[in-house]
Amino acid sequence: MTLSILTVDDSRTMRDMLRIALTSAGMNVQQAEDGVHGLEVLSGFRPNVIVTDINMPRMDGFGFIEAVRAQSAYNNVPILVLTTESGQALKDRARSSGATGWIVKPFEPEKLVSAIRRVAA
Amino acid sequence: MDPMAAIRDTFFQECEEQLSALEEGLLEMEDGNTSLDTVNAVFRAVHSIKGGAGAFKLTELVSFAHVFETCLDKIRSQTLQPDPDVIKLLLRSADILADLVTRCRQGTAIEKSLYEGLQAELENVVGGLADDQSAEDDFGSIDFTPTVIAVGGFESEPAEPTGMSEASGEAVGPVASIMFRPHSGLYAKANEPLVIIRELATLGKLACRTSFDLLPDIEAFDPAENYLSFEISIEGNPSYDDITSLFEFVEGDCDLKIEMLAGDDVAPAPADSPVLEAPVNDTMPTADDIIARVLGRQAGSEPTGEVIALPAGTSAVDERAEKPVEKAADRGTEKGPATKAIRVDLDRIDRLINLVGELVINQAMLSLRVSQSGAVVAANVGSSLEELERLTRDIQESVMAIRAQPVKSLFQRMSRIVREVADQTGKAVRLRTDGEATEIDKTVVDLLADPLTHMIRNAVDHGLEMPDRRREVGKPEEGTVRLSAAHKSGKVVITIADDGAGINRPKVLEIARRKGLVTETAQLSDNEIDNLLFLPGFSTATNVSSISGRGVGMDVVKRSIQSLGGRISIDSKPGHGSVFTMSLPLTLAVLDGIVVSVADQTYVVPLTAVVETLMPESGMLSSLGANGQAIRVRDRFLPVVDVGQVIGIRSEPADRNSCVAVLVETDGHGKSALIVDRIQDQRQVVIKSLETNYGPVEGVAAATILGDGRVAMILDVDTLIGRGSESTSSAQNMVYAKAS
Repeated sequence: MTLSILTVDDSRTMRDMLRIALTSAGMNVQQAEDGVHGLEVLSGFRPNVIVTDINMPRMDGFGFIEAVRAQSAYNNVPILVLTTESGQALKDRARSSGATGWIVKPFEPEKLVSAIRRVAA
Repeated sequence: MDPMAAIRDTFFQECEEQLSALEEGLLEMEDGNTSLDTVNAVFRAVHSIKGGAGAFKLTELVSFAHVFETCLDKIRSQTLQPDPDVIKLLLRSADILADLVTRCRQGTAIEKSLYEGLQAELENVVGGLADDQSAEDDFGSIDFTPTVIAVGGFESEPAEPTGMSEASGEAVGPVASIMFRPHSGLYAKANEPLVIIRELATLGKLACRTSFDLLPDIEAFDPAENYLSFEISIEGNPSYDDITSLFEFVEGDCDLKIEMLAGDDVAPAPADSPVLEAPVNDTMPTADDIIARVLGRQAGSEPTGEVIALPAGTSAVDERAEKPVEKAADRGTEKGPATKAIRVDLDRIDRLINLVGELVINQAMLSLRVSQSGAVVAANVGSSLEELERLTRDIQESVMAIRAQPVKSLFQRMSRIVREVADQTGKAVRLRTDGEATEIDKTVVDLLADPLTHMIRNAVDHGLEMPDRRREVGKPEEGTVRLSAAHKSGKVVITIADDGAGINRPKVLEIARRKGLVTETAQLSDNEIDNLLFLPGFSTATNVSSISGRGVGMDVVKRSIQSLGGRISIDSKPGHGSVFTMSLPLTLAVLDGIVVSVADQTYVVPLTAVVETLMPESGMLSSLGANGQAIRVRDRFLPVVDVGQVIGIRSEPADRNSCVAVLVETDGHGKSALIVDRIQDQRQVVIKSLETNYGPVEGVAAATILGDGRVAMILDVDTLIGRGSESTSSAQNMVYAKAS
């Protein structure tokens, strides 16, 4: 089964890295530039896993996760938070907003892929 | 291109954007706008740079960006007050960050001295950063010792570890025994016990027993709650760290107990516990299993994974990873969400512009050929030609628009210059910018950077007074430099205004006399004195300061502006400051001009210089001295320049009875009249560089190709008039004669 992934990140660099890492692992990737855009993409795309950045304009990662979880159609889609920030506070915040897990930037492509596979049903 | 190299390029491009967003935000903060949006945008900029830099292992950049970011985070969380000193520090940090990015991009070595001092200052402001940094590293690497760990207070004694290898009689290595009871919160975050168990199965031979012990009676049953727990054992020397890392995401959302047992300790599974050994596909959770089980106990449960046993090494994951990826990769690229902008290589655009230029010329030729064909042109051919002309022009304008860029990036660079010069001179300066969204051809923007930098340096270094002096004359200590851009009648006008002392005219005149640039006796108007600044070799600073000096004078600035087809002028009021105004063409590719004939040659006069055209009536022209002539226009006398004579294609003046006067206005020479034989047309022409294709010719700015295929020169009006009026006596003209 080809995994479909939605990535949400405002950085072009990160989007490119995500796209290359995931597509070369055989995944189908769609990309959004911020939370608002992410929700728009979701209206026509059902990913197996969502990977989102935290610090973004318009709607940040926390807001995005909460909005996704609020939709019954998507409340069981695993969401990984992609972040350079770390620490217990962020972890707790990500958890309380409904994130499934997290990946610390900078990431190794293999680590990213394995983290995604780890949460993909 | 190698994908990483391409991403690297993207990263640096993005850095430029982030740096400019950073500076913009910081300047807004400096202006007192410390709203959360602004602070967030600033934070994001640094954060993104740090994130990308990490991916490329740009250690220095990461470490500096990190402190910078921490500082901004403190402001964001309102634990640090963004007072003017802090903002100054942040602005300087932004400059250094930009320098670091540049070094990283060029791959040049980074001396620690470049950023260490500032980094220390930032650390000072932040305070106690060292702790943050260690916490930063990786919250994935939780430092467990491989002993019994109970998370979440799982009190009940776990069932005996489940073994399954007794029967086969295999030697048993260390075994992990895991007690795992998910809470409902685990499911709410879309974590899935089955997935975790599946991953555990990749670590060794796994057996799992589902415990239904906690299932309540049907009355007390909450469908959103989980009552199942899993007793898992993994054989084959699984690594403790690997196991805990798989539970990393669910920590806090489950009861978890992991025990590492030596193989000998493994007890056989209790006879009554339901142990299944089967490939994973057969043990996907079936609601029926559970319901059957639950109904047997008069209770219900939510569907979830029950029992799994997998031989070590088999994994659904591995199979997936080995699938051919090429197709999928392509698809992924295509399916990216539609974006509003694309990035295009500049060369491609330039090629397109060149082609459109050729198209314009070709279209003009076609029109000409048709009209010259002599045949009566059918009406529909004529209208088609007109349509073609209109379309061609539209295409040209659209292509030009692609190259247009807002001057914002240019202006932003200037704010750094202002800060640097202010620091070096000890002056307090504020840069105000206006009309940043004004668009201008990219080449013009690029070529404008140097002259503008120089003028901004001048404005701060020479224009503004020291704070003490400003206070004495009743001005605010902080000087202001205004940089603005606006579109005005087909041109872009950029002004640099300072509220300093204005040009010290007696001093300027004295220097010019001492250097022999003007004669001792010459009487110059204020404006003429101001214009002396543009003479080669002129420098008002008695000691060439390290700031404005740098061996470049205002003459170079003027020449750069002129080579862009622009004009520059000064307006200065003693005590109130100076204004430098530059007017620039929107593009360097085409030009609106008046096509004129002189001695059977065709020339183009740039429309930007033209004020009006007229047929001189008898009596309007009068002689002035030996060779000079003047024309009287509405009771003003203007110098006359006979183009044919000045260019040197004929010695006789144009026929005074049939000639046409083109009144022009230039920076250097005010209004003058160019005498030509005839006006052919007014049209847009494609500029072809003469310097590139032939060499510089005085009095000629460039060339173009006309519809009939002939080359026509585009006149450099300012130089032409300078040459034409050499004979008339004016101190300023003497100066310009020397200059040329």
